[in-house]
Amino acid sequence: MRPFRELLQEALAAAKEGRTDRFGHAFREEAERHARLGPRGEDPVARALDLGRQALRHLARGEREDACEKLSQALELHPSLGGGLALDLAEALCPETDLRHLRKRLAPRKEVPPELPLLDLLDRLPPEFWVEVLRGAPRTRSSTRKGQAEAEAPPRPRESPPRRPRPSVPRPRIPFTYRPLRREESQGEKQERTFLTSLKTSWEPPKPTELRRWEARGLEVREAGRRLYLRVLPAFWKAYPQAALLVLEAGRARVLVPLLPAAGSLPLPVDLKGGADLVAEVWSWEDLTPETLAELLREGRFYPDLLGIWLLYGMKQGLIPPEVAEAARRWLERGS
Amino acid sequence: MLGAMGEGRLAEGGRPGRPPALVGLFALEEFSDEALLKRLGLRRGSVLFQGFLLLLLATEAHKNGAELRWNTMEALKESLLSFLEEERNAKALLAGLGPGERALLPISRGSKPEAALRRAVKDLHVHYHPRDLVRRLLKRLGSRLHPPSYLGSLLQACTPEAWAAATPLSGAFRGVFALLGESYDLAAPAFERALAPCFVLAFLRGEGRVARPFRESPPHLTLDRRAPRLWYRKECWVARVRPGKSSPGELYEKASPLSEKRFGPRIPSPAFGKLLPEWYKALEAWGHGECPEGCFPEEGYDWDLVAEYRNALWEALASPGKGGRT
Repeated sequence: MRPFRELLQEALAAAKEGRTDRFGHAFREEAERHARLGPRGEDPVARALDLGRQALRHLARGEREDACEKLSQALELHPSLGGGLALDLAEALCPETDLRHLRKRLAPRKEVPPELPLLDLLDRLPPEFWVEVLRGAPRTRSSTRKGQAEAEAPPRPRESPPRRPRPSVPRPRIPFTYRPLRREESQGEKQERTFLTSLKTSWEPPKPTELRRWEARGLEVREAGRRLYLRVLPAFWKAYPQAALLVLEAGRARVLVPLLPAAGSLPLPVDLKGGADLVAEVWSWEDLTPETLAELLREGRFYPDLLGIWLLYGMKQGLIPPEVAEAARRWLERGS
Repeated sequence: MLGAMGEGRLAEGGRPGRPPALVGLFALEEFSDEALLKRLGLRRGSVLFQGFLLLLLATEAHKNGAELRWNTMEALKESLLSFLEEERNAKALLAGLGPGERALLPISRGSKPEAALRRAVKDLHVHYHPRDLVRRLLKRLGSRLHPPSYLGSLLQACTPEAWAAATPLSGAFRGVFALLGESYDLAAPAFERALAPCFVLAFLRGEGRVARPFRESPPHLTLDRRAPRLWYRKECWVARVRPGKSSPGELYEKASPLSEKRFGPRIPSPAFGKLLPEWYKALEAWGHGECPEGCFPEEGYDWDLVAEYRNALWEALASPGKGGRT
């Protein structure tokens, strides 16, 4: 449904041109849909919005006088309906109605608290922005892009942006959902993921006739030959192009899965019961400082050979400083 | 042809979300007034000021149909720049700006304002995360922002929409549903119906702790184990419980039709309560016991109504004495 204010805007444009008798089909449908919503509450603002919506329906049907009546009723209750657009519309549409007292009530005040424009701006930001604010974790940045941006950046302004210590930065976390596969199903076959089928599979306890499988966005952990393998799908690389390492939280264990772009599926050094919790944390090459690497190697479970190959790869590609990689390799040798 | 004419009129008469009467009321033009900028602690050229400017321009571009990336300020700037590369888009955005907003940009009245706009955006400093920017902007507001007594009568409306409008940041309120929708790969309105507004309120106020809304009690909420409900200060319960399935331990798993997603995302609360303590304190005082049940919007929120309540709230805030600042 389009916002009420957009409809008001369109009606206002039409009223100013004197073509309120020729609304398009889309507008009429939208106005009907709005009017059908009915009042949400008994307070003046909710009632005014309802009346305003009814006015638009009258207008869309070509009933100008009824529209004017509803509009002025609404405005008496809430003069700034539609952020003032409703009053504008009434003035353009209903020259016979005296609305000056309402206009007066809407007149700008002299002293406006300075915080209002700021709050107003924040209000108008789309949900996508707030998703990022609430998610809280800075996405990993490409190191080359970062270098470029720094080269182009203007001299640093007086206030420097906050720098948080690396280890406290929360990283993107991807929860898995347990969706076992039936054995008779061909493994490569993509299961239809309708609401009902997912509900059914996840509520049923795992049976021996099933293959264990966990799914997440762009990731899949699946049983094959009694071992668990992680598959990294293209969607994952699209979302996290700079991902270097996954830390899987499986129950109490932390499992390190080094990501090698060429490797199709990677074996996991743990076994999990069907239905167990599984969350993946995404680490980028930038996140891997000597301290964080040391901590990960100390706490996590991993295949040392695989990790060694991965460190070599990162070093050769220039993704991780040689001294950091070498230190980690020494750690590996000492540990094994 | 109609489209082109419509655009011109849009810019002239005010745009949805930026209503003409309020433009006058809020007088964004005043931002060109150094004294006012100073009162807000926004020095020209400071990181905060530049971030504010980027948000302002991005909102305008969004209204003009730009598909922007909001994940980092860097990505936002890049996507805004590629939107502005088209001359038509740059023109539309400039046309949408009020004179005061234009004055904020270093655009001279001379030759090519579109190119100047692009240069101005290119020069903005963006090496931080949106969350940091919002926190720092709010910190500036914290001590100055006095909640209006109008909040009390607003909450008496006792609709979920009134609760959404009563939080200091109603955009963030809506953002919670969008975030959950994205995290669970479901439509956001499903969460609007399943979670009570007081849950969202408490989550946004929070203490920076991590919440998994369908698995564990989020900060500031208590699980009543005898009656399988999650309460927020006895005002209303937090998530719908399906009849017949009432074991408290599994509350969240059965709390909503979304329960088949067993692994909820971990979301750190933004802890806005720390930044705007007065507002939240007032909310608590006014909201206490006002809206005991029936907090769930049956068909999702009527965001148009939230915008109207918000409008009324701005008016109250702008007029001391008339239910304005206390």
